[in-house]
Amino acid sequence: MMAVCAQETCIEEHGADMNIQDERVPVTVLTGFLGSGKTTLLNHILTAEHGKRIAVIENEYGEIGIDHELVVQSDEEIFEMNNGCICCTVRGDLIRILGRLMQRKNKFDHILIETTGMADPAPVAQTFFMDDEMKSRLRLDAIITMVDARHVVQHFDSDECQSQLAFGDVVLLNKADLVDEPALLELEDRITAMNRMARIHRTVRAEIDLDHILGIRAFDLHARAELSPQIMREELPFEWAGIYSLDAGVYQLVLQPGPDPTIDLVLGRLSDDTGTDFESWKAMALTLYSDTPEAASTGLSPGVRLYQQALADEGETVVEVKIDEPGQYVLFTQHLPEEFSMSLCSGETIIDVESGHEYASPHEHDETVTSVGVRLAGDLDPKAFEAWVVNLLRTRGTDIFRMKGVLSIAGDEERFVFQGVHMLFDGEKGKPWHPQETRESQLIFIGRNLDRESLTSGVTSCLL
Amino acid sequence: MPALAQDNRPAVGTVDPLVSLDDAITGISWDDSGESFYAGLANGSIYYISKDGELLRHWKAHKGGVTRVAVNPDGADFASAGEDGRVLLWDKNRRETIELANEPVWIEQLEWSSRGNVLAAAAGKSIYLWRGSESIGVWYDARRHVQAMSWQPAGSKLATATNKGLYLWHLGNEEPAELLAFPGAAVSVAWKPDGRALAVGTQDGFLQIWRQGNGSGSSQLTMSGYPGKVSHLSWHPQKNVLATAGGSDLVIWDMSGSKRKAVPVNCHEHMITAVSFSPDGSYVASSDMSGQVYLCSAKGECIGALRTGVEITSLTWDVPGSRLLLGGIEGRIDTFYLNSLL
Repeated sequence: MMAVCAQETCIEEHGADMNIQDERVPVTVLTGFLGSGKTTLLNHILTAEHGKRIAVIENEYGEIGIDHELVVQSDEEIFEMNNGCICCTVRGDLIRILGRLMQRKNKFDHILIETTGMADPAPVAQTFFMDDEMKSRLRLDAIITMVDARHVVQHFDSDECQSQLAFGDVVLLNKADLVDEPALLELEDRITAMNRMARIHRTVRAEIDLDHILGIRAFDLHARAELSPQIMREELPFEWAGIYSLDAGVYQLVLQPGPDPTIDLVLGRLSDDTGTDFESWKAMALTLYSDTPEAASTGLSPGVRLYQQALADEGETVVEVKIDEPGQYVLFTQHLPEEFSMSLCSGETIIDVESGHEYASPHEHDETVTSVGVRLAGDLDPKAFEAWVVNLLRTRGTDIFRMKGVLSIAGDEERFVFQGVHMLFDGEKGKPWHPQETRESQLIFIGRNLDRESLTSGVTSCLL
Repeated sequence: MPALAQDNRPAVGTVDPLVSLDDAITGISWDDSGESFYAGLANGSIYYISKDGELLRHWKAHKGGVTRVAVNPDGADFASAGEDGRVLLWDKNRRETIELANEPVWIEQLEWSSRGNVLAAAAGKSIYLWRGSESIGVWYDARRHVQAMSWQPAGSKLATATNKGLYLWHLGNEEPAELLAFPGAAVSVAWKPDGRALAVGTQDGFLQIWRQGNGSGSSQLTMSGYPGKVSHLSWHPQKNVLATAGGSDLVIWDMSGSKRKAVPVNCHEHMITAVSFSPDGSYVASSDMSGQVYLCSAKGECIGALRTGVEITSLTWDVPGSRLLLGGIEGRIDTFYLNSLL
């Protein structure tokens, strides 16, 4: 991984050396608040019969109670890098200890690093990408974040908790037996809203199948050339889109009071002649939904604009819809139609929806840390994308904890896969595209105060 | 006997395997006779070996690895430090072992003052001091860890390099004097043999030089351009010349004239693991992770190359400078004999 810092202007790709067998020793980082169960998990790992030689670096307050071949205590010391990028920090103590640990005839099979409850995982992760010696001898396998399912809610808004959850490749909801099912579901929901890349497992007394936490290659570009559909679930600023076939005339959109006092709407005409099909309307609506809406007081007519309809406190609200030409129309609604018992009528007749599409709402939770996924069909202009991402990391790298993507680059037969940690960026060629495949790009960002619209329009502007 | 030579040049020397031990060599220290040396191993053993490869004595000294071995310059005893947090003093005459320290953390640094009367060991933020077997104090700086340290040649001051600074401790004082401040973190330090300058390598690829001026003044030089941390430093024994290594870059700085001159030696393709000027200043030996060893002149001309195939962890010249011990990560020690005809 390289630093995309103020002085740097290019993104280098790895050479072919990534294809030779990786003999570097895997490192698992275990984070989580005091009392979440980190030590219990470490003891499980050390006593399990996996036949691996494991070295443990525990924090200065750590207390592994069992006799183990190698447990080293480490006192966190953060080094800033004098390269103009404020978030390029590494852990000096780990560099010293790991450097010495690797100076052995028989290498360890795995290294576990336990951080303190208040530790920021970023310097730990960055150590394995910024220090040449660490990079050549070790590979970061995954960051495991341990959470006390009962108490985590109290800390949810702290910076430490947010960065630990944002960095977790795996989040373990420990002490799950002490919390009821609705609370666990709510917790899983909130964590997913913050970090959609995290694999969440519920545990009791930190018991978990070690295959879920060791050797999972979460930082390996080749191991995950595709982002999973769950990670890439589309999130749009509208929750529903419906296609109607309408004749010329006046229709009534009837709405009942719902969970919000207003609803934002976009109405568009689908036409093959002008190339405004459903997908292009969807892209347009995405941009429109970040505009200031205009009041729908005089009714809706098809066009490139965002309407806002205020809803009566009691009883139904009727919005007039004027259609001049017969044809297919698409209606985007901010909320799901059933939340407002919405129907489109022509007099007494209810018009059936030809096809309806539901989308996940990005505003389910009001977290500062969120995940933003972007998915676009077509090819990206490599120069434009490079300029965009360098500028993004330069200006927003502090807030972007992690980033992953699989890109379709114009002129390339292979996918371009990349990942980032704050201002560090690492990319290389992945699997080739099949001729029948739809070339598309998928990106996911996890960060603080992310602006979905500007990220989406930023990537969109790099399309050829 | 493989010869150490570059194409079309006379061989500068030959290399012989000396011994094969059971774990990585973490440190080598010649004893005062120059006839034998101590080798510390990553499995906690210490071997006492004659220069011809005879294993004179060996024993399990530490639980976990030996981090440092250091023979007292006055020759009476020898000290070792380990991952078990212990510092041990081995009295050669009385053949007894004294445990000087037993701490819960790794002891990462160990060095005798040049006259041999004070032993310093560093772990974390503490520096422990002994005269003979008697503790004479602990220096502690709550703000920073000791990354590297070095006693002033022919002096009684200890330089420590830390995150963002270079400090000088005087025996008898509790607080160190700050010599240099810089933005990055130090990873290596070396005194110029005349005791009038210090070189510090940093994690973010800078070389910092502190120079004692005439009188009480001092100056700071900052050199940049390294691709990664500057891990290894070795001064020429007499001249104002410094060999440095950062990543796979070996750079020799000539600061003798009014202008500083950097000579990059383009030989290594892998991360450099050790750099050492020969005692007479004729050669710089350097080794890397792939096991390549190079010999170049003080002017930076590469004059010999050797492929050992195994990562070299230590390079140690003997006192006359006629032989160089190459300690490997798999436990082998090779001897390089310099060709006397050169």
